[in-house]
Amino acid sequence: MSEIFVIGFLTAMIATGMPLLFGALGEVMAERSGVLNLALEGSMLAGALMSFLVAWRTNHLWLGLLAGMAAGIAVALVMAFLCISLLTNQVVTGTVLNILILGATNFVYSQVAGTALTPPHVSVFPNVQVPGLSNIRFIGPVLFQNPLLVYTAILLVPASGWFLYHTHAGLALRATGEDPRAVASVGMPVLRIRYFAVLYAGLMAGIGGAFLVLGQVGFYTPNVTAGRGFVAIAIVVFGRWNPYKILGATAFFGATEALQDRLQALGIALPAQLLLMLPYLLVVVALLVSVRGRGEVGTPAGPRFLTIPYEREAL
Amino acid sequence: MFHRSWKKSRVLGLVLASCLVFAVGAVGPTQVHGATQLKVAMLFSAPVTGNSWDGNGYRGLQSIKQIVHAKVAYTESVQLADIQQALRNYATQGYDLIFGNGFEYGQPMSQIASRYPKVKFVAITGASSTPSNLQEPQFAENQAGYLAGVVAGLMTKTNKIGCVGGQQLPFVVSQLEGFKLGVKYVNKRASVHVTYTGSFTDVAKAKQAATALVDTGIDVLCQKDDNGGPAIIGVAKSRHIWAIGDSQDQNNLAPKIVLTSAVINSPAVILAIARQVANGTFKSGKPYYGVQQHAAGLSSYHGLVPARVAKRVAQVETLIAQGKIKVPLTTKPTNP
Repeated sequence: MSEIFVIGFLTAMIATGMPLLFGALGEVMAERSGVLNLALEGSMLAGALMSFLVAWRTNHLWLGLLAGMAAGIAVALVMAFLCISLLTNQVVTGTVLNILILGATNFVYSQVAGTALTPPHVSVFPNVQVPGLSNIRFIGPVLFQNPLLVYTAILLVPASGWFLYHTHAGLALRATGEDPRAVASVGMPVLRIRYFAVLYAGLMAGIGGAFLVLGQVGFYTPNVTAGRGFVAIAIVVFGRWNPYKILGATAFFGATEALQDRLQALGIALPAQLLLMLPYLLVVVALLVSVRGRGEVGTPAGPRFLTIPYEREAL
Repeated sequence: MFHRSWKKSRVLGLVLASCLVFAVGAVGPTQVHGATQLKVAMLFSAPVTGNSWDGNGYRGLQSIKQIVHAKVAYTESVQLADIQQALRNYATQGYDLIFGNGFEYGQPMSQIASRYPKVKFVAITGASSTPSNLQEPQFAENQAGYLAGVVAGLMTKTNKIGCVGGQQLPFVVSQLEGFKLGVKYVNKRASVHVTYTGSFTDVAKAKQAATALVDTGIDVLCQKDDNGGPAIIGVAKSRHIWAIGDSQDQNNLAPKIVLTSAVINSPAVILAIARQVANGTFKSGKPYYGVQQHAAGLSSYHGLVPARVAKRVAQVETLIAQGKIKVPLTTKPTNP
């Protein structure tokens, strides 16, 4: 197998995985606090649109990224307010928000970009080479010639692990998802912790959406995220709510996507639909295998109080 | 265009979001100023964007507004289940002519057309039975693809050619299968590999699919991926290989890279149908629009193709128009 093929495969794996990794690293915090933030897809899509529009209009990619973060947080804020403050059902709220954001982004894009024959586009984030390391055979071009956001995402994995397992705040976050009453009983603000966690998930999803548009293609199309937020949520489960395993799960998914593209390109005699299904099929199988152990969270289905609203007890 | 993603989330999302977009899209001009003014409506299954199939339909509708001076309205993101309701809405509001910009409108139109005998229905590329007030114009995507294939077959040096398609729908497959045959007609040694992304909007996936093809050593990349097209052509541009556009002249996306585009001139056909309604010559049935009718073919080469190639393509075009080359209509993908 030629070098270009191997490098292409690994590069595609990283490119496919990046938006998912951002989303999953955010979602894991929300879920660890007990909130199933299904609005992750909406945050990602809003982040993709706003980052694109701002980058396009101002010609500044980093301003675009900031706008994407803000949009992701804005969606998460609505989610948090409804689910945490108003105690609404998290699944229903997240689903409805996603639908709303899909319609809203379609509307905004059509109003701003209209039906111009040439769709507006921006140049994407440039690759930044790591001196000394970028020339290593195979690994260099794959790992050390990427946009800054890719390094950020990868460094965020140990950072998230350190936060969750080695800080007081991380302990409080994990405890909130397992038993919010216990957290409240020692005087810690359950609601505030959940708010922060959900807003952080929105922020990360916003970056993921921005990366999709500003880091990869430079175009926006309606529903450009195409369900990546949901895949990120699945990756959190597949990664058993652990940032390091989430990195592995993302790599696995990215690899199967890159593989199916290459199988089709090589003209393998299988129906395209079957190959397109392959990554999702493998994730389902992986979920079935991984779900047997509960690992470090309270139940096999996640933190014990995941999806359960917390009502402050009357004094 | 008919979007059916198997991703449940997206389907659910679109179904409900369409209500939202429907409300926005339906706010079109509906007032009648003169009794003779034609009222024309068009339904789209996706959000209308410039560089896509629905963008072509939209341009057709705009030309009806400008040239026939009709009142026009349109609705975007219409879901399958909502088509009949959307049709009835326009029919009862006194629209004379209602277009559905895709084959998915054929069946619902066929079912309700007889209830609104004064209204003319047009399902672009539809495939159902046609009552007297329903027309289903057919486009020869296979012929446009064939001609594009001739260009690719003559331009390739590596004898490896790649195509990215969106969903495996009849008009996508027929164009790409036509493309393969066109390549084979002029270059027996060349092979064509086709990748389908399963989507017309997932631009990142389109980019990845194109990149994987380029990694196999192709030097001509064609596409039939609607909204994904610009991203695919972007890959060709960054990897310095030839590209062939789709639906309309896409040379503007990469002026030194896009050799030509396989074009279906649906705006012209849409305008022609509106004129038929205006002057009372509208007929039902399935009129065929291909190379012979100047409705399917290639856009300008923008000086990127040598004269001998252009000459050969022109010969093939004439042979197709004369019926001496019959491009088969294949709607199931074949293996390379």
